[in-house]
Amino acid sequence: MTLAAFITRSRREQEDWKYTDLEALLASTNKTFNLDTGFRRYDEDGDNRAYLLFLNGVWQSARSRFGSVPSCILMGDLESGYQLTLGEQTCLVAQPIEMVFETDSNAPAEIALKLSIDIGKNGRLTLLENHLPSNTITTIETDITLQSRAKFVHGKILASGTHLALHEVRVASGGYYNNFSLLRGGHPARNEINVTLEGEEAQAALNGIMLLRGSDHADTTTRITHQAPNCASRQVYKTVLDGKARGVFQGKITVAPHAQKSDGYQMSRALLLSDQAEMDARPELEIYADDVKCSHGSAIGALDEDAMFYLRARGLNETQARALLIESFVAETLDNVQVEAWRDIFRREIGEWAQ
Amino acid sequence: MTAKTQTLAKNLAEQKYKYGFVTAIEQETAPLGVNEDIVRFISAKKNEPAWLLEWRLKAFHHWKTMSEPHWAKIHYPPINYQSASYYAAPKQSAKPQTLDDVDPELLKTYAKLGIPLQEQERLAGVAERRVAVDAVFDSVSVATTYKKELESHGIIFCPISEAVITHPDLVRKYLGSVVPMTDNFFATLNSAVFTDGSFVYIPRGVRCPMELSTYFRINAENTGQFERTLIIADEGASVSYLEGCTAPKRDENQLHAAVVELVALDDAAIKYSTVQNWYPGDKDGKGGIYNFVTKRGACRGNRSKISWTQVETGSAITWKYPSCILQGDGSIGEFYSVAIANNCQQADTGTKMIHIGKNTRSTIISKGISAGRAQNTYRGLVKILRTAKGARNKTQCDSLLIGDACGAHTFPALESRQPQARVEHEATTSKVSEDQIFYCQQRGLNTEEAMALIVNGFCKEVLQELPMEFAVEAQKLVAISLEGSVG
Repeated sequence: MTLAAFITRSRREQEDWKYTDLEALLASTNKTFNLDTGFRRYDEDGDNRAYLLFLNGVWQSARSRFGSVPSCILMGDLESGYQLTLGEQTCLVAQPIEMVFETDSNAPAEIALKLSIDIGKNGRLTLLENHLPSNTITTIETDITLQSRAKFVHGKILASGTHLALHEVRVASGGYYNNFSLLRGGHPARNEINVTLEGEEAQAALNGIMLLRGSDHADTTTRITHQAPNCASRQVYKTVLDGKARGVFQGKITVAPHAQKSDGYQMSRALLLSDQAEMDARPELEIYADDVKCSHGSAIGALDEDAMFYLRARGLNETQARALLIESFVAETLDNVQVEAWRDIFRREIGEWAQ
Repeated sequence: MTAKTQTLAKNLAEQKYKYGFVTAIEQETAPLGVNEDIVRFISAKKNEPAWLLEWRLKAFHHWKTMSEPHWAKIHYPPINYQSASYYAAPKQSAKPQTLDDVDPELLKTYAKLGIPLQEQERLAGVAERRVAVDAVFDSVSVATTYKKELESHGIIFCPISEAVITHPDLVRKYLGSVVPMTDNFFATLNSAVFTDGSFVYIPRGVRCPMELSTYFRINAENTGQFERTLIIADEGASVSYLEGCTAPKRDENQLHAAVVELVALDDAAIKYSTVQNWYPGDKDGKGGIYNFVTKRGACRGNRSKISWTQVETGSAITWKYPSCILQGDGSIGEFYSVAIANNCQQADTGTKMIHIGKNTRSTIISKGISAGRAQNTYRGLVKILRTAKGARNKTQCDSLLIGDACGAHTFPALESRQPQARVEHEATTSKVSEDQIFYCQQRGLNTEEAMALIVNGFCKEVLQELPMEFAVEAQKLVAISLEGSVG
């Protein structure tokens, strides 16, 4: 989906874009980022992990490394979209793949990426998307299909820049989709994840952290549809806001008629660190079946002053105490990250931000 | 779904509406449709001053530029605003001065509805709590009780059409100050064509000695009811007000678009309770009232308090969001709601709490019960402005589903711009479990009694907020709805 298509969408679905006025935000964006942070991969330890490099939206096969992943896993080009296919019974859990998205000074003003990920029956995939700082407007549309009992652990790190992402995820019976997104900025960023649990006993877990400051505007919108009986979904989102940042969380759980024994849980919490920041949350439930267990919670507040005092009394300075409390605030979501190595990456990113 | 819950759902679908009778009385109605002439006609009927007519016309012209809102989760065929009459009143030679002058048919109607229009003498030694009633029949108020006694406290309690004439300054000062004339489609229509409603003014430092209430009855066919209520509690005053409503059973839908405005000054408290029991339509969704209501309270003064309690059992469509604007420092807003939607009823109701002043507090407790093929939606907004340092909100929304063909939805929004504020929202959805029913049955209750007990327990937090004498009624109403017996 191109930027123009996103804008058309935002005009059509006004209510869904109420807190993220795309056109106004794009018009006011003039920030340029320092791209000179270097190529930052998270697997530089030299082991055999795989990474796929995309420069200005184009896959660089020569600069990518496959490790033990078959190189035919990724096909396609920028025009027609990239296709990542995992066959039946193929298990790549021990082999997380990292996709690095990088731009340089030759980048066009706008990159529209399209990605399809198809995981066969009983397939297992672990994939981390790493979006480096960029001055280019990136739109990325990802279609994900999980066949029965397939499992996909999907991570995402967004450094900053204008980034509009739309995920359409379909999970067949017994499948499991796990998403963790860390948004460290956005001018604006919109991370939209739509999951349809199509088969019985399908599951989804969506977790995320938004760390925003300055004039950042980030928006996480999730829609989980329980289409079949006995499905479960879990969502935990944490947002920390400083400066004049604005955070948006919109999450909807829909239980279709006859999707009995559905179990849906959603929690979104936000910390406001400055009196210029704003958080808007819209947790929604739409239930058409009676034998279900669905709940959501949402809270917005400030750092606990007593906790601050406690830490200060024990010799931490204000910055340290604050950082510690922020880290502990978001820690709950990290527990849901399934890949040990990623947890360290995310923790490091959070630590850096909090300092 | 087990056989037990199936029977229960069936019983629910067949519950009867007790207030569905029609009073045979000669009535005067305005020609169908709404236009400038109708606005002038209504204004003339009420002998209104010129400024109010101007205001109505301004609203009407603005209304013509607006379009009906469709964001709510309700579906209905397009409403033809030109096919209903906007004014209907029982024919009477002159305005009745005492109850004896009121048409006995009307008195009978209210007796049948269980609304006491006779003032009771206080018996020696018996501290019976009394209720002053303003009875509104279609477009006019037919009787207001205890007026004399209230006057002795300086309290004004009268139909708004009378207040316009007797207390024009107060009405002019506050009318439209909470719900502006241009607020929304239905409120603007109401501003143009409102007919009657109650006006309450509690002077400084006075606690109203009795409950005040207004009973709205739609009787005439093919009419809409557009009432307007304005309650002002001056500094340090307090009042508890109750509103009830019913309508006859008809196959056509009737429109009811009311506006209620509350103003609380420094240290004042207003408690506004509603037991809404408009005709909900039959089990196939035929007929019933379309209830599009704008209710809003302004806590203008410091430490003022406005509390909304509603029990919504009727109407084919409910579109209603009683809200609080918490402007004064330390002011408090409360919203307690039980919404029961049955058969083909659709309820989209909730509240808005706008925190402006420092240390403002709000509590929202909403209980939604859906049965049959009904759709029940909670829609709310809690907004904390930058100025609302120390603001606090707690929201709890629980939904209960009975039967597998209904829906329960929760659409809250939280917007905070103040780090010193705390906003919390929680929502759950559940059904009455077999275990709960079984437990009660073991103790000798039948399924329906068990269900009524469980549902009443589910709503208890809200029902106990109602004034005592109505809490009992409401509890019965909830139980009756679920028994499916007489109803």
